[in-house]
Amino acid sequence: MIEANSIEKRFGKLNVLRDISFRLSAGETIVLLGPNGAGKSTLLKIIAGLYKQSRGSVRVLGHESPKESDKIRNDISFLGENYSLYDDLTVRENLRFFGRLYDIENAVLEKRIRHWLERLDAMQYIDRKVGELSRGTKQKIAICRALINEPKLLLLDEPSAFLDPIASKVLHAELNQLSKGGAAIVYATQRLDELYKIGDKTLLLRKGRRIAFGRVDLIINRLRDVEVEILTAKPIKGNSFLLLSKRWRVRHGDSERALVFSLARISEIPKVVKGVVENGGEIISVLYLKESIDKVLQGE
Amino acid sequence: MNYSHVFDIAIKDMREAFSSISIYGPMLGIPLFFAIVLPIFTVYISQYAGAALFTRVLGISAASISQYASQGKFIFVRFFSIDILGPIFLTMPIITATVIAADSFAGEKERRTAESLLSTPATNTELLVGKSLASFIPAVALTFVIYAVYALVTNYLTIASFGMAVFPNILWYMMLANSPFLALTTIGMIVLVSSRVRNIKEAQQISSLLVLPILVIPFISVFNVATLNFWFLFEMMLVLMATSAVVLYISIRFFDRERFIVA
Repeated sequence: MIEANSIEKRFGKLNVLRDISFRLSAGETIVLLGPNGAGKSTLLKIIAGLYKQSRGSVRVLGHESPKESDKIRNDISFLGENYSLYDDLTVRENLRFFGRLYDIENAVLEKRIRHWLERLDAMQYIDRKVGELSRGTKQKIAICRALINEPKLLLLDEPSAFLDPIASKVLHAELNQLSKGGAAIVYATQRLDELYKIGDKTLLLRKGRRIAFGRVDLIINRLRDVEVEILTAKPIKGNSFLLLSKRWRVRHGDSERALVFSLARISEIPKVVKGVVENGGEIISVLYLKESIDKVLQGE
Repeated sequence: MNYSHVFDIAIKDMREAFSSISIYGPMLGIPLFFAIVLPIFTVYISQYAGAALFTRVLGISAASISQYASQGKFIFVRFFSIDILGPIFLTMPIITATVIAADSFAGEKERRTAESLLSTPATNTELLVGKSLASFIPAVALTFVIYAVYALVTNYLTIASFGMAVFPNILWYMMLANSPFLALTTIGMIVLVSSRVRNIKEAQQISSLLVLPILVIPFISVFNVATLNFWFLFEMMLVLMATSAVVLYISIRFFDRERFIVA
């Protein structure tokens, strides 16, 4: 699906990407993980044929990009960091417009519009102008737009940004489904937790350089210095808190119901969760506090 | 070329343009003012105030006015309808095309919709022809409507005095024939600059500078450089036809998706 060899991208004197190589096959999902300015969006745009690499080569679906991009655009879909929809048009008009540019037959297109809007719980907005919607709903419509052509290759730049947890869950489930159906997905994110949810492989980027590439589970085990916040139904204090603090570096967060653990390795999370439960904690949620991947990546 | 893509893009852009009063408001308001108020003003002046007022207010040479005025009211009205107002009407396709084309091309950047559009299977030619059509159709249609309204109002006001209609006449037809090419040349200029600007305002400002030479052409009769006669308008049409073809070809040939997004 994608063969990227020694890609380099410069904007004037600024080197945004240096020597990036990777391969992606049909049915695989690769997560591009890195902080702001890592080069994730630029890499996605090069794959989409929107930018031309300064050096190196990219073959997408067997064609050279961007030289032969016209031949592959029907089979790929790109969702940028902006929702990229027309505010003055309704949701239906937007989706019809993009669907027609992919030469989707009208009856099929209407079916797909309904399907994706229903899946993402946005059907009620079909005749509303996009400009009137909340940012989260706009993002849902943008995702529908990206999925409307049932692409062989899906390029997504932080698609879960602005989504509520339920919509994020649906998105991850749908992407996993598409992947099982043979679609290849490149998913850029700053959120560490998304690695677990959708990735087969991950490409860690920092300042335009590849700092790790491989299977998600292997990469995750190499991550260090993670802060995790565990929220419990009732406050954990006194003896229970003392017992936990003997095993891990732990402090209270914004309230006594929030426990913040500083862990040397990400693989310790299951043990911490078990420990909290054993000490009477009824867990509501587990969150990465230091999604500041900068710090996590520095441990590499 | 996939014509369905071209029309889908054109229709989408026209829908967008006409959903915003900030775009179609000035586009309709100013020409309608020209079409309705100016003929009334002209006829009133010619019938009641005389040439002296024009000499004073507009600074047009008294000799040229008296030359027409001495030939009777019909010639006088024709002078103001064709030689003075004609050039103003020739600017209409330019102004209208500038407003819509700037919104259509630079608007995609400003509203950050360019990336999703450029990642679709639509080719450069389909994108640019579609967008150009979205500016061309309303610009020319509006110009034709305004010309018609102007002709009707002028005829209504003057027919009782002259016993015949001032419009249509051959110069009026020639000005109409020039309008599509004025619009096309303007649109081509805007496509050329759209890759280098960041927003609609910049596109309008730069394209205004670029279309300045075109904007001067209609006024050369006002400055007595040439007369707006049939042959002048015919030659102008041929030049504009060639210019618009070259400008549109260059703009499509050298359209760069990356530059369009990044600038």
